[in-house]
Amino acid sequence: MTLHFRVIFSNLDFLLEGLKMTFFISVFSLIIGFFIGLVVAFMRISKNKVFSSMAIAYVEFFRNTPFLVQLFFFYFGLPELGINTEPVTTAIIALGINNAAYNSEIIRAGIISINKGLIEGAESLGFTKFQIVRLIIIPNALRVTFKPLGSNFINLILTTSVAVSITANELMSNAMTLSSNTFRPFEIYLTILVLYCLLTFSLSGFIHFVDRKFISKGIS
Amino acid sequence: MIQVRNVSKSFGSTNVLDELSIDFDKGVTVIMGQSGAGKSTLLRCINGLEKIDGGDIVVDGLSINEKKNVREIREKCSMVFQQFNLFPHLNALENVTLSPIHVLGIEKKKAQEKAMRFLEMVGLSEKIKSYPSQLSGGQQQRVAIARALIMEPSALLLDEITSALDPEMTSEVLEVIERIAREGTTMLVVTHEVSFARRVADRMVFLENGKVLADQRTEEFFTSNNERIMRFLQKIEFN
Amino acid sequence: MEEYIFPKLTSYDALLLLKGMGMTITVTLLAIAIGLLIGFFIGLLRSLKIPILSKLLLVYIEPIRNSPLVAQLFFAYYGIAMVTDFSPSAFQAAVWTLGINTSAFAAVIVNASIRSVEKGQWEAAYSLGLNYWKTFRLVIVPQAIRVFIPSFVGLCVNQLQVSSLVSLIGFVDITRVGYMLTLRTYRPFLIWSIVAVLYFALSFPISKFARYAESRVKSYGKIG
Repeated sequence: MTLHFRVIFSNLDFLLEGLKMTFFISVFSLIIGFFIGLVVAFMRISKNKVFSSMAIAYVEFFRNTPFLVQLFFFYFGLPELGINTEPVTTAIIALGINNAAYNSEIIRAGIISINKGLIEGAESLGFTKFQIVRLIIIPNALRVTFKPLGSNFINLILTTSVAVSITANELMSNAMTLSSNTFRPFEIYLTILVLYCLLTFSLSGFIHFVDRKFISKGIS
Repeated sequence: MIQVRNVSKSFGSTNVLDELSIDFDKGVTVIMGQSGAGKSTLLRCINGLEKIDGGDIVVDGLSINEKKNVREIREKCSMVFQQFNLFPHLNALENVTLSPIHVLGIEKKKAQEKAMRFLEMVGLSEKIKSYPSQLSGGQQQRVAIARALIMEPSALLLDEITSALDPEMTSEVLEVIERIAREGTTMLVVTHEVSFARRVADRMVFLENGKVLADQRTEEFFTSNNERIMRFLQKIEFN
Repeated sequence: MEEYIFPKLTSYDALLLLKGMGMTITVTLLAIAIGLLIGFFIGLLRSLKIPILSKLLLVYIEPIRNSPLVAQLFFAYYGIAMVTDFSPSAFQAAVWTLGINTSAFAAVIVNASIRSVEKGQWEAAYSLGLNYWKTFRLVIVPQAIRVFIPSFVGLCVNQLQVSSLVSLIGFVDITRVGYMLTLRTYRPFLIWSIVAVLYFALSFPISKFARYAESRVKSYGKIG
């Protein structure tokens, strides 16, 4: 059985288009996921029972159901309610909402980890609530949450591949299309496995580097 | 009988033991010295927890350089640690009977009877079913001592066993050690407790920079004219 | 409104969903079993910190953990058939791919659990004359397992979720049944809600157990 990796090289453009789409979806999902996660985290620790229950329900639902099912629900289910869906946008929103559930837990852990004494000290020095959040809570929470959030982002990138199920033209979708056209699944899927790994490893290394250099500096 | 012959040990670029030679036999030997002088390392090399870089250690005729001897040497030299290292998932009785049952092959009932005798010796007969988390530091250390003694070792290695205890617990543990010492067990004791050493030690060994600086009978050591020793003793007694 | 809630769904459909659930559970359990067996072995070897071996095992662990399961599934189901005489069924591809995927994550958990037991425990056991295996069995495992279980159960929950991906290679699990039902009834909103609830019903209790187990780990002493 001879292998024809030539197939990859002659279709590299197509695959790279897919990779670009993967980036595109990942970045936007990341942004949505981060902000929703932030909101949900604060809702979760709020003293308001309604808010915290909503937050808990949200997190539990999205962590205990498969992303594929969530995606199908949004992509196929919403049109039934009259909302038109399109693969890429749906993928971004679904992924953002899903990822936010995990982000909120990470952020919540980060906020909880902040030493009460620090906040009390700042309060007694006359800082306003907003100043405390900006100058104390955020930098310290960042130190604890940066790596886990980074790790979660990597998961997000890998999860974009599930969008193959609605043909969102990201890397996995394009690989599948290519494989159907050329009948060379072995070479193609092996290549994208390697591609995803390279992507993940380099991002992992980058996150590690940034964490060491900028986040984990100094005291407290 | 423990013979340490030209033993060297380094951690990275730091030379902790420098061709050190010394013999240990019956009696209580207290080993003192500055932090980093190699005291704990020496003990840990004797029972094979650290691998020596050069030289040899012979325990009752068994050389530590032969891998197959290490287990037997460990049976002969029981160690008690600064951090107790009791097994948290076992109660006091089980902690003490673990090695007689699984290393010496003693039947469970017999092992338990024996264990109770040793636990009584260290004053903990009421706590045999207690778990380490339910015991104070001093009590845990005493269980650790019973655990070491039940192996009926040729030598007992005590590595700063009271350094993690407050003064009250320290004296309760040292009291137990004194009692055992009077029964004639060979002991190598690394400690900072000067008054204890003065009372109980037969022999004082002073290490510095991985070498033996002084090796004398207790009285001679504490009345020594050596400037280094006098300075060291002053510093310690101050605390 | 009445018509919306019970549209053309028959008891036969319910049976199909039930069968799908059975398939999901079967695949997940088999994959977990394979994953635990292989993962334990690899994790144990990694914990020994043997120089070259440790790095070599990473060559197995890291690519699997760092590539998407979908790609692994497609590679196993379509790719292997292309280069060998062996053409795996969707079931075989599903179980083995998910199993190997699980093993990589399990190995990391096993290694971490073993390393979580402090060095002093090994030293105390060794200085009492216990050898490696006796120490491992009598001293380390009872302590490591408390750390292991919450993480591992969490992994199981995750693998239950991602098992839905096997529907993409045609294996008939809950998700695949759901997909087939939407094709027939044109009620995706309802169907996917039901499917989500089914997964939730399977997953949530296990999740809760994992959290309960974790809290028991924290309150060590009294249990023994």
